[in-house]
Amino acid sequence: MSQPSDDQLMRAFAAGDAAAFEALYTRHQAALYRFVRRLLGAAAATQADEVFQDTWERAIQARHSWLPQGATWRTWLFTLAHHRAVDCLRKLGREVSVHSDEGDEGEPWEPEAAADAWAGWPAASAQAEDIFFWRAAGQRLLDCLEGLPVAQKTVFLLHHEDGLAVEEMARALELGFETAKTRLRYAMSKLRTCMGAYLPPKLST
Amino acid sequence: MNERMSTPTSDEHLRQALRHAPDADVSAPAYLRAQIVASAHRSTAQPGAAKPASRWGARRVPRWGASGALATVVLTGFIGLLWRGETPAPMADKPAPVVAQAPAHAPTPTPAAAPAPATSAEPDAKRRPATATEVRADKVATLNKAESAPAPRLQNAPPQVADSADSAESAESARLAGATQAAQASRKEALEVPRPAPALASAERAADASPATAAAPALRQRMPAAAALSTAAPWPWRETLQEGDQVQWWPAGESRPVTVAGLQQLMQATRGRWQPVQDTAAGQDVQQLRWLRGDITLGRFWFESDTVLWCGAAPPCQRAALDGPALRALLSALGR
Repeated sequence: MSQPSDDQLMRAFAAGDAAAFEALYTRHQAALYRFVRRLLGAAAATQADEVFQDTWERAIQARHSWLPQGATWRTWLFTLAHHRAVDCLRKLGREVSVHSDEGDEGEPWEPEAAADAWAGWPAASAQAEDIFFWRAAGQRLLDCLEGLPVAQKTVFLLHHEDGLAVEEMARALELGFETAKTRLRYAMSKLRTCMGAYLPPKLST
Repeated sequence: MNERMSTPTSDEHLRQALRHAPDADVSAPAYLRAQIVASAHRSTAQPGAAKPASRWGARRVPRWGASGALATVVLTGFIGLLWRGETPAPMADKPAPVVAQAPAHAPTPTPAAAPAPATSAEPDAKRRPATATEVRADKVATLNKAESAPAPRLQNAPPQVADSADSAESAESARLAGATQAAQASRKEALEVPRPAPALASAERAADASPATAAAPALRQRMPAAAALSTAAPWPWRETLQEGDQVQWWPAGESRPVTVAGLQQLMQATRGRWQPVQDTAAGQDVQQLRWLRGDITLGRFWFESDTVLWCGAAPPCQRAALDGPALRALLSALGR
C-alpha cells in the first residue's frame, strides 16, 4: 500500500486529522532542520530551533488556506523556512542582499582557504568509497557554504539537498528563471573553487 | 562564467559531500517535536477556527486576546523601566490575572517595587522585621528594588545569606528566630549607617532572603541604569534586558505574554541560584518561556521538575535548582 502524498496528508490535516500532520512532520523534519541550520550558518546557529519551529507553526496556521500552487508541499515548506531564515538574519544584523549576484561579475572569488591547501588529499574519483574522505568533504562543503551569500546558499541547498529543478526553485522563490540559474551558477563556481581537491580534478579547476 | 553548473559528476560529488556532512544525521530536538505536534493538535481541536488567508511567507499573527495584548503592553513598559533604572509605577490596584490563580501560600506577586501600602505585602512586613531592604533601596539599582516584593517561599529556601557578615544577616537570623526586636534594631542600624560599596552584594543577598517589603518611598531614589548594571548580575539574562523586550510562553500558535508579577517572581525565585552547565538537554514536554525581541529569541527558559534552565545566545547555559513547591508556585505565578 502506497504512502499518502504530502498533499493528501495536508488536506487531511486541514480536515482535522492531527495524525496526518504528525506524518508530515516525521517525513520532513530532518531535512528541513538541516536546511535551516545550513542556511543560517554558524553565526545564527542559535536561531535554528526558532526558525524551524516558526516554519511549522506557519504551516499549521495555513492549513485551511493551503492549496497546491504548482510546487510540492515540501517545496512550499522549505520556502517558508527560507523566508523565515532571511527575516531572522536581517534582524540579527546580517547583511542579506536581495540581489546577491551584484558585485560578483568579473570578481574572481577567493575562498578563505585556497584549493592548494587541500592538494594533499586524494582526488574524489580515487576515493569515492572512502567514507572518511566524504566526511571530510562534507565538512569542507559546510565550511564553504559559510562563505556564500544567503541567496546563493539557498538555491544551492534547494537544488542539491532537496533536488529542486531550477525552474521549480525559481517559482518557489518567486524569482525569474534566469536569476535563479545565475545564482546557482555563482554558487557552484565558488563552491568548486573552495572544495578544491574534493572534486574531480577536471571539475575543480 | 563557465557552464558546468549542471554537470552531473560535479552535482553528484557535491550531493555526496552533503550526504556525508557532519550534520547529515541531525534531527530536530525532541522537545521541538513535542511542541509543534501539540500545537497541531490544539489547532485541530479548535472547531471552526477560521484562519486568515495565508500567503507564502506570510507573517505569523500572534493569537492573543485583548488581555494578552494588554499584558504585553504592561510587561513591555515594565521591562523598559527596569532597563532605564526607574522604579515602576504603582500597579497594585489591578493585580495581574495570575495572582488570583496563585495558591494561598504563594507570594502575592506585588508589582515591581510598588509603594508598599497597595499590596498584601504590608501585613507581612509588619510581622516580619524589615532588614536591609532600605539599605538596598538606597544603594542598589532600581532593577533590584523592583523585585523586593515579599516572597514567603524564600523563607523556606536555603539561606543565601550565610556569607553575609553585615547587619542584614543579623536581621535575617533574628527573623528566623523570631527575635523581632533585635531585627528592628538591626534595621535602624542599617538605615543609619551608610554601607560601603563592597557590602552591596551582601546586603542585596540579605535583602533577597529577607522578605521585608518594599523600601520606604523616601528611600526610593532613582538610580542610573549604569549603576544598576554595575552590580553583580544575579540573573544570567540580565544583560539581555532591553527596553521593548517581551517574555512569552510558547508554542507560538498559543503564545502568551508573561505577567509582570510572574516575571518578578521568576527573578526572585531564581536569584543567586544560577550555575553554568554543560548539559543543556531539556526533557520533552517541559514548559518553555522565551525572551523575545521582535521575532528574535534572545533566550529560553525551560521549567523542568526541579530546575529552571536558561540558554541565551551566548554560552554557557545556566541552571537554577528549585524545590518542587517553589517551582509550582513559580509556574503558578507565571500563569502556567
